[in-house]
Amino acid sequence: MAADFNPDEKHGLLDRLDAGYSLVVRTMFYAASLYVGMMMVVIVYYTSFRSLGWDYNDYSFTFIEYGFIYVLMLGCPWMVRQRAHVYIELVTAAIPDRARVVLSKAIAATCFLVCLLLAIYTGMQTWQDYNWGQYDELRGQLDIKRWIVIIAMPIGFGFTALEFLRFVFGSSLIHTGEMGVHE
Amino acid sequence: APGAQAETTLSLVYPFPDFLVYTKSCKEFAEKVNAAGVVKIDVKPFNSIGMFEQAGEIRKGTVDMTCLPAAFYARGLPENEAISTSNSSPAEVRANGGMAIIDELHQKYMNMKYLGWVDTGVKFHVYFKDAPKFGDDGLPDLSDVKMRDNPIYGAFFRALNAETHQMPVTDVYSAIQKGVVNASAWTSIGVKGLKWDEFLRHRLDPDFYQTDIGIIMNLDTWNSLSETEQKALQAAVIEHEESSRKARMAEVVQEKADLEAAGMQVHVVPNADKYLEIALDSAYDRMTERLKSDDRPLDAVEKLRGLYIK
Amino acid sequence: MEWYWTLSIFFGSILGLMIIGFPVGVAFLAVNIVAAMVYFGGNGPLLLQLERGVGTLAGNAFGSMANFALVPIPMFLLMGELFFHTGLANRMFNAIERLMGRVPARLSYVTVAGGTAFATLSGSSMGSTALMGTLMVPEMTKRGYKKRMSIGPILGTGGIAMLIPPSALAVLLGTLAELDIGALLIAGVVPGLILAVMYAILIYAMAKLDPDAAPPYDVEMASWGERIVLLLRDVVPMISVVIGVIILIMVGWATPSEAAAFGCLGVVFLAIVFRSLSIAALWKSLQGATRVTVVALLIIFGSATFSKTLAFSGGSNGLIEWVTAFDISAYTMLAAMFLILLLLGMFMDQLSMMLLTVPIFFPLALQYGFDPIWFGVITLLAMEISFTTPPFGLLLFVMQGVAPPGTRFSEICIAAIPFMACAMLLVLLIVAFPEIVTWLPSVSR
Ligand code: NA
Ligand code: NA
Repeated sequence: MAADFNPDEKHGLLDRLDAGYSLVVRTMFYAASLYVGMMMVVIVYYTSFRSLGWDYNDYSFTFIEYGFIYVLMLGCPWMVRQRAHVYIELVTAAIPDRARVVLSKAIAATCFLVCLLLAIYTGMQTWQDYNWGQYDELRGQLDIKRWIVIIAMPIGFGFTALEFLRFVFGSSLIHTGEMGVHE
Repeated sequence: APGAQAETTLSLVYPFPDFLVYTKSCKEFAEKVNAAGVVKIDVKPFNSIGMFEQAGEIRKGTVDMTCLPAAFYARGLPENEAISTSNSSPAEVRANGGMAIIDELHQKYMNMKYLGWVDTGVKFHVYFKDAPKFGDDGLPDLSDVKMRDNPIYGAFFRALNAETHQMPVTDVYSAIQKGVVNASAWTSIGVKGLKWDEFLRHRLDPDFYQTDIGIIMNLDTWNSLSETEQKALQAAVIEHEESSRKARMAEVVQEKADLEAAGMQVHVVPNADKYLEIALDSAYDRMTERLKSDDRPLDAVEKLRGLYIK
Repeated sequence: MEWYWTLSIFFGSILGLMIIGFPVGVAFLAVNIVAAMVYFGGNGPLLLQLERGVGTLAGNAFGSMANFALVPIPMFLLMGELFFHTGLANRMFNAIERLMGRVPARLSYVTVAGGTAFATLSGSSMGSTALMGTLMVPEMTKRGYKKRMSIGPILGTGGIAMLIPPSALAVLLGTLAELDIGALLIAGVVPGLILAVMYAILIYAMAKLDPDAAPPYDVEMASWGERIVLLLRDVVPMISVVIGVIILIMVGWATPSEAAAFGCLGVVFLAIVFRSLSIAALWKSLQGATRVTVVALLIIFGSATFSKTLAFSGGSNGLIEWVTAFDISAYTMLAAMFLILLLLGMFMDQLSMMLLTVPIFFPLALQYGFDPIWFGVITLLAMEISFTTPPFGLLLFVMQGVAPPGTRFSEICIAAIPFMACAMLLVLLIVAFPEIVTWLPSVSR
């Protein structure tokens, strides 16, 4: 993992920017990991308190439910970098290397576009929720504004889009073409 | 005229699965409108838009109409509690001007037209696993009770010092079975459908609040309709207010009888007046608090209480 | 547009994008953006349609994803990762190996038992598939097992789990279809056991036919004294974590969804007792669990929002109503409903499938005179099979996400086939001998 970020070897402004950016994306994933750990602690905490008849924080349940959106959006960009998302190498393993480079970059470019659109328009939805003061109506008694959760989407999809863009212009490809060739 | 070709098509969504009576009623309403032939309603299938997302989408205009309980957007429009807690009939609040105030608030704050209030006449009960106890004040003693939380009546039971717990409706059956919670409130119809009566064998009377389904519409869509179309739609809603009320009230009688025949024990709160007063106060207190926190005027609160409560 | 064009275009584009190598979640989202624009966007300029359409998608995603029912996925993954990184899993599997002596393909049997236990507890096939995939596949690959002996049993166990109580999905089906939930839960027990026996026979036959698929290797035969020590020290404590979790559910301390978090706590506690807990192991476990959770959540994000758009388009209702409008014999109708479930299961999670089909299928089943509990059990099986039917079941993608690098997607599909065939055979058995389902509920009345 350290190979992605080694400030000692890079001195240009772009390299520094990229290194800083990579650090952000990786830190987002670490934050998602910590959140998953917190989910476990919070479930144990409120379930025990409930069973013992003690009061527990009203937001416990919501912390966990919102977590699925936060964890996904925080972790998604780094998973693109790691090629961890599920995809099928059927066609990409069968075609010649040149064609694979073209196809893989075309896929990365389309994924970039999809995530960019999602980032822009979930961003506009966030803005509308903010302006309207849209509440999370399911959890109405907790007085939570919905933009607090939705805002994770433009951020997550935005970084995910950038990660796909790296596969369009960078030297590495999403598709190794190795699955089904080397076993 | 019946059979005529309608020019305008309005899309309609609904929040509940198809087997629920509220969904059947909503579709029945759409059929009546379509049969009249002035406007056409295109009913979108269940789960097209999430149930708690529907109010926002109506406001935005993604779809034109929905049949939605007022509680599903009561945080955005706190005055909706007046509808959820009412003990009047739609005809009464139409006549006394209460519904006009609610409609005005919908237009002003939610970009919505409030067409009417259907599926009324069904009230809420608390159901218990063990026989409920009562305190010296004649109110239920809920110190040993763990209730499932709900946005409608959660505040009421916290006002009665009950513990309330959040859980998804899918977990409730096993939670009741295993005693994670040992009480839950529900309407007078539907408990049998959820099978909760297998474990919750005690019912607390009197019933309180009232179910409601509001037929609401995007305001821009409403304003774009011709006068004839508006009148036809409004007339259909008013007719459905009456007919659905009759149908629901008949079902309440039937299900209560069925449950009691199957051994459901009924317990009456000794100080019923105080019990119902707390139910109302807790809701109106919450309404006021929410309006204050949103810096909204409070002038409708007392008016609504006067018009929606007999 | 007619519903069949809508469906063909949707399904065709998603399949096409997946086959050429789009990440599965993104393939759903790409088609979804276009579909949301068309259906939720209304009229007006393209940008306004996009704004409304994708905005609705965000709202729908919020409603579907901020959902407690997803809890078993991260929690059971974390439990598995903790088991793995603290070395407790290794300890237990070594001990079980030595206890079982030279039984061929013993790890495959262990996988069926373990997978069933986890899936039953979590009520989530996705969570338990991810967990067992992480835990068992690398271990078995190391010992020379072929993929079909490791991946197959894992994919198959979800079917047993949703039949054996407590099964969250069965309760949900019972609620939606207004069935006697207690009877439905009990009705699943006998078919669940039959399926478990069928899997065991299948593994036995596969190991007999191709001994190399689960290569025998020498294990030192343990003496009886050693066996007792192995059992008490390396097996009982680990199993007691699972049993402890069940007890917490039974006594009403936690709901099934919540119980998984206590499983994690139990493993941490055990690791402390065995002095194998370190900050590094904890941190690795958290990252491993998060990795798979994120991958699974993106697919769920895509498919959950897609099924709403699909519902709105009228495509899914059109298919169901078309098939159910034919005047055909009872068994043909049963087969048609079964096929629809298989088809929908390629693209949807089980909850969405249920919400979509139950209101139409159950009244129809009653009209044809089917026993509702019997039909309910068949529906449950159909949904689990559809989840795992090659080439496009969501469970297959989850497995692809956790399988060791170099695992071909075709290998996963081939591994699934014999186990899905068993489940299909069970469906046929239930159709031929309804007593398999109806007997236990009738005597327990
Ligand atoms: Na189960
Ligand atoms: Na499938």
